[in-house]
Amino acid sequence: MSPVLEVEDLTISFRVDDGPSVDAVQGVSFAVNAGERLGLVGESGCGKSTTLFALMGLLPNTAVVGGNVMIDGRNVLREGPEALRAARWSDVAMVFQGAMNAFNPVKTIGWQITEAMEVKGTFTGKAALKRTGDLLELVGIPAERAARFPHEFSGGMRQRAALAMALANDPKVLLADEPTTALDVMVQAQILDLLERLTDELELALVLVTHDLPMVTETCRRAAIMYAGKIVEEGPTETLYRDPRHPYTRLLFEAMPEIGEDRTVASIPGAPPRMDRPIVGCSFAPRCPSAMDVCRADLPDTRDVGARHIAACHLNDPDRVVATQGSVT
Amino acid sequence: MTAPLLEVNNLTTVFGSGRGPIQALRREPAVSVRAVDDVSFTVARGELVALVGESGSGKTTTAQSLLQMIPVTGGEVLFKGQDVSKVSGRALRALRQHMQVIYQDPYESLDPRYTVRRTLEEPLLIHGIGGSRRERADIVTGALERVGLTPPDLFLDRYPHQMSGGQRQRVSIATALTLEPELLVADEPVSMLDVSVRAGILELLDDLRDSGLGILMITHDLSTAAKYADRIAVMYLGRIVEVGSARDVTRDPRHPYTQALLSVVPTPARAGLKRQVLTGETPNAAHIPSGCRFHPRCPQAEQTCQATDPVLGVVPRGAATHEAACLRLADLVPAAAGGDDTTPV
Repeated sequence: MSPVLEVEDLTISFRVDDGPSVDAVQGVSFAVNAGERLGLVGESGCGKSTTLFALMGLLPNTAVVGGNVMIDGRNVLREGPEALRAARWSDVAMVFQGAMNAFNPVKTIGWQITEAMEVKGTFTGKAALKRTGDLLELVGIPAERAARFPHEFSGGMRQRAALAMALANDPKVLLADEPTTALDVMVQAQILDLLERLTDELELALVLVTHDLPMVTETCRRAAIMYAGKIVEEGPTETLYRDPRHPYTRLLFEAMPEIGEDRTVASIPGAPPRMDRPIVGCSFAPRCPSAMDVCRADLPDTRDVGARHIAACHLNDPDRVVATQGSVT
Repeated sequence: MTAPLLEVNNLTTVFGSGRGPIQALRREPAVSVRAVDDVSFTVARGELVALVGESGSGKTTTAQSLLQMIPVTGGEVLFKGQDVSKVSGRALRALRQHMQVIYQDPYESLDPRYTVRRTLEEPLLIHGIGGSRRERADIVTGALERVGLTPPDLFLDRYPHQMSGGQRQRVSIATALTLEPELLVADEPVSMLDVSVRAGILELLDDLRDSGLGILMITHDLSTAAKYADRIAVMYLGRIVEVGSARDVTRDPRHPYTQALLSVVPTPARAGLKRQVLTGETPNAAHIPSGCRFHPRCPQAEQTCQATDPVLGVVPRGAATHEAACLRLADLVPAAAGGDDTTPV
């Protein structure tokens, strides 16, 4: 099976007047199959949301984008803005951070979902109205609520409606940017359940962007950990938790307490590097407890460290593995 | 045993009793919102108590009521044995000096035009502490050192926008510490912060607790409460439905609501286990269901739950300090009560 979404060596840099450009994304690659959920995890500013915006073709003019983005076999990045525009909402849709607060307050929910279809011409008139009701039912909102205004919905219901709107044109790829932040734990669980059901039933390829690694571990079978514009580790979530091969992944897990697990919880010292300056060696080295001399000098290669498991860390270099095994954990 | 630092007895806060002109014109009945309904708990010196619940459960209103930031409808709040709700003016201000609060959002709670020095000096001037400029400067640098913003000289002249979220939250805590509080109320102290810095702030609160402060932490995050609190009180629709040691509440939860809340906390170690997702959102405090207020969402509800409002009672085959408000408490005893096996680990 070939992936529905394939991102290959994506680079995004922002031109800045009178200054060096900001290299926000530096060669990111990942692929997602139909019906698969991939978590894209990292701290604020690691480039995870910027990556999603590039897939939607929604970056500002100051952004220079390189690499390949294949959506359902078409290289939308190579084919230019027209191809991106055609794909946007039809093949790839996105639920934005805070989407529940992005509805037009003076139009009904139903009107706004119907508009999403009519703009694209996928469904019009009665068919669009009927589909609006179906979409609302699909996300667990009674169809008759289409006539209600956004303020009559709770936060969780608005988030469901935002999902219904994203699904209006039957996309193959769904991008979700922090879909549950600002929601309560129980509502968060409802939305995660819904996302899981939708990806299964509609065979959607889902990319879930979040800073919450424990949440991704529950929702997605695979995750990519981003740091300073690069994917530093990617693999099955279960493996990332049991056997992380990049210290950043391990520290991200350790930063959050976990019920029933008596272990130390520690913050990650320092802050991510500035992206407008060249970084020598591994970008995580200044914050890494296992950093060696080589980390401050050479960029680590991304290596296979297991089944569908890659990591970019000098600790995994074949000639070092034996010598440093003690300091990995 | 000496009296606890803070003792809250039957605290009740009702909003908007009465109706506005539009409701009156429409002949609608008066609505009142029982945000906090008969809540009792204590916080001792050197103890961190977590108040856990969803939005609208009344946890923040409880904190604001006990600090007298909003008027209390009923009950009493004893701080060092003195009823806070009975004093006002200068006497209240004197009491409040020792009850400080830190807020959720360090991006909004600090004045953007104030330097760190001025932010920390302001409460001293208001309360007339520190006679000379020199004395105040000593208190300010001392507070910065205590929260780990060292060397203080590096931070004194900074503005909020020149600091990270974690540093700003440390400034908020330092500001509270300048007045040498005995009780610190922390309202969602880390939920706005990046994952990587949260643990540092929580460790700081932990240290302050160890130094003898009583801390009331309000949070919706049970895993944070489980790790850092001594005791946890779970709130639902203005009531405490379960209270006990952090270990008892999180490892041997008895109230169906606590059990559901725990089941939806993401825990990688038991990924794949079924979430017990409750349908609907926290009902409106303006329309509290009859009987047990949790019954419409409760997977264990029976006929009696619709009629009888349960009160807190000691859980069977558990710790004496572990209480829950559920009519089916006796039926819902786990097979091996007190063990860890109720929460699969």
